[in-house]
Amino acid sequence: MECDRCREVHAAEGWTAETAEHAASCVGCREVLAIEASLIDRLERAGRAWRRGSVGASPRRRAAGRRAVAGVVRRRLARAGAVAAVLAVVGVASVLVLGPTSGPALAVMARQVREAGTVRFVIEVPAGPLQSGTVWVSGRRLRLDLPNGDAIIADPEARRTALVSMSSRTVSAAESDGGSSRLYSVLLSLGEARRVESEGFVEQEGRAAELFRADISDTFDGMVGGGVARVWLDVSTRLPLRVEIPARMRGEDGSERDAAVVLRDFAFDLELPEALFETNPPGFSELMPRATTPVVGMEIGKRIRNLAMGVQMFMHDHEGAAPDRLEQLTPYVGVEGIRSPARPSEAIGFEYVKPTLPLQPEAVLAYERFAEGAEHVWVVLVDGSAHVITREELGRRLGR
Amino acid sequence: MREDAELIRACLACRDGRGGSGDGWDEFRELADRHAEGLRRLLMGRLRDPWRVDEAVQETVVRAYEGLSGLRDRERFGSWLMGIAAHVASEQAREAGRSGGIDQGERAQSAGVRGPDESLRRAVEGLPEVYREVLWLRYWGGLSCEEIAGTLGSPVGTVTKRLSRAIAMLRESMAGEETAGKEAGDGVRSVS
Repeated sequence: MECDRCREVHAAEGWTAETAEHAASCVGCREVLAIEASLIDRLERAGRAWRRGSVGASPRRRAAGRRAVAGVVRRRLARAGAVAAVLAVVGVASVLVLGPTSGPALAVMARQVREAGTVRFVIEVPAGPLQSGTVWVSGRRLRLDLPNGDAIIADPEARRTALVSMSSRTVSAAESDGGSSRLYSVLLSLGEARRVESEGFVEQEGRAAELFRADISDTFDGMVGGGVARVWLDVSTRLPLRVEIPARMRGEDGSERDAAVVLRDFAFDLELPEALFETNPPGFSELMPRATTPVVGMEIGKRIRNLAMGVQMFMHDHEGAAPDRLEQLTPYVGVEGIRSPARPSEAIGFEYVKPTLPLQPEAVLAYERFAEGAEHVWVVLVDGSAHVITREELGRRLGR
Repeated sequence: MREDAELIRACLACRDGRGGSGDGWDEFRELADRHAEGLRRLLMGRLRDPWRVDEAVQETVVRAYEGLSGLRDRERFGSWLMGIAAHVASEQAREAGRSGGIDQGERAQSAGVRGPDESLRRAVEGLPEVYREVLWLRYWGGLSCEEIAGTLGSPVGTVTKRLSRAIAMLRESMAGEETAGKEAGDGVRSVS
């Protein structure tokens, strides 16, 4: 058998008695066929993985926009090359610093949302303790407009959560904000999801979008979280178009079932009137003062997680060196980012523990400054996860 | 595992608000995923390029989802889906004929054939079309040399020669990449 024929048969049929016999007596073919066999194996695996992949499309690509969405997306992506490069850098940085714990696209999305002055979105809840409505966020204040015309306003700065009833023209202290701050926190936490996978490009609300699945099973316990969230990101702006968050819902018959809470119709940097967040409108009955510890707690959780992300970004920009002080993170998290909502008068609300190299994922990176009598403390670990732990546990982790 | 007909019922019930939640897409995707491999094989035979096939798959499943209520024999979902795919493939082939092929810049941006072995995909993309085509058909389409010959209208001998040459070119191009990568790595080390 000639060498050319041997290689041709090997390419078409793989190892046969003929090719093996020739290779046994021809050193050149033996080396080449060994390399090519490995290449063919890679080709087969790559092709098989592609063939068996999920169809992954969204059904919402209606007739009006039925041009090949992928083509549109590609053209937009070509224009957004710089964005892609930034995403790649952030992604590499995340992986280098913390391991493959976060999807860079969602990390960038969360950061953009966080940095937006104001945010508006609609919550759709199938049933259960969370409530549907339109959410308005300005800084740390949050308002949920309910379908019946009432509104819940949460103002961590003022330590108030108020239910404003338009029908009875009264203001009363609210038990909760309807879960809206919780859902908003989940949105911001998506950047820290353990596993993020792209499902491909689809059309969403008339825009070219990339759909991601994000594992948020360890983001929150209980009602929200514990599964996979789906996020549609605008390919041009990398802002969310739609987010579906898994939740446990209780039906009218008392049975629990899994459902998706939908966040949609996002808008950013709107001019919002101050009155939107006024918890004590003139003419209304007196608002009962009430501390809103859960809201403040959520806010602390968000900020302390952001600190971890700020440290990642700082290390990326400083060749792996960690910051010496929290103030060095202000370019990444802002001046407000190092304050604690529980201690608004203090410029720095957290204690920072400079990480040592090599990084220990379980080591404490920062914890909230706490009052003498506090039993529990928010901490964030080097791996970016935030937890509430006892003071004893904190002391143990700090070796005190 | 639920039967196709059962998934179709569940999907339609969700869409019509007669049960379940959402828009039935999860049920439909489970259903379509069962036929994804056959769908891609069929489309690869027509379109000869995974980039085009991914577009056609998207279009096919969306049309199927939208037209699902019109499917009379629910046991024959697979063949119905393939029929839609064949229509889509014909349309895309005509479109490709009019637009004159795929822009390489767009192809490079494509997520359609993105996979874990990016360097391999890039190397295949870089081959001349006649060689790239046989590799796509053989490994991405999962076709035999005889099936490729039938698809291309060429003798089997021509296909095996092209395949052999394509693999040899791939081997050379990837060896070049690895060497370049090593040299770049050496450079970094010497600087540090």
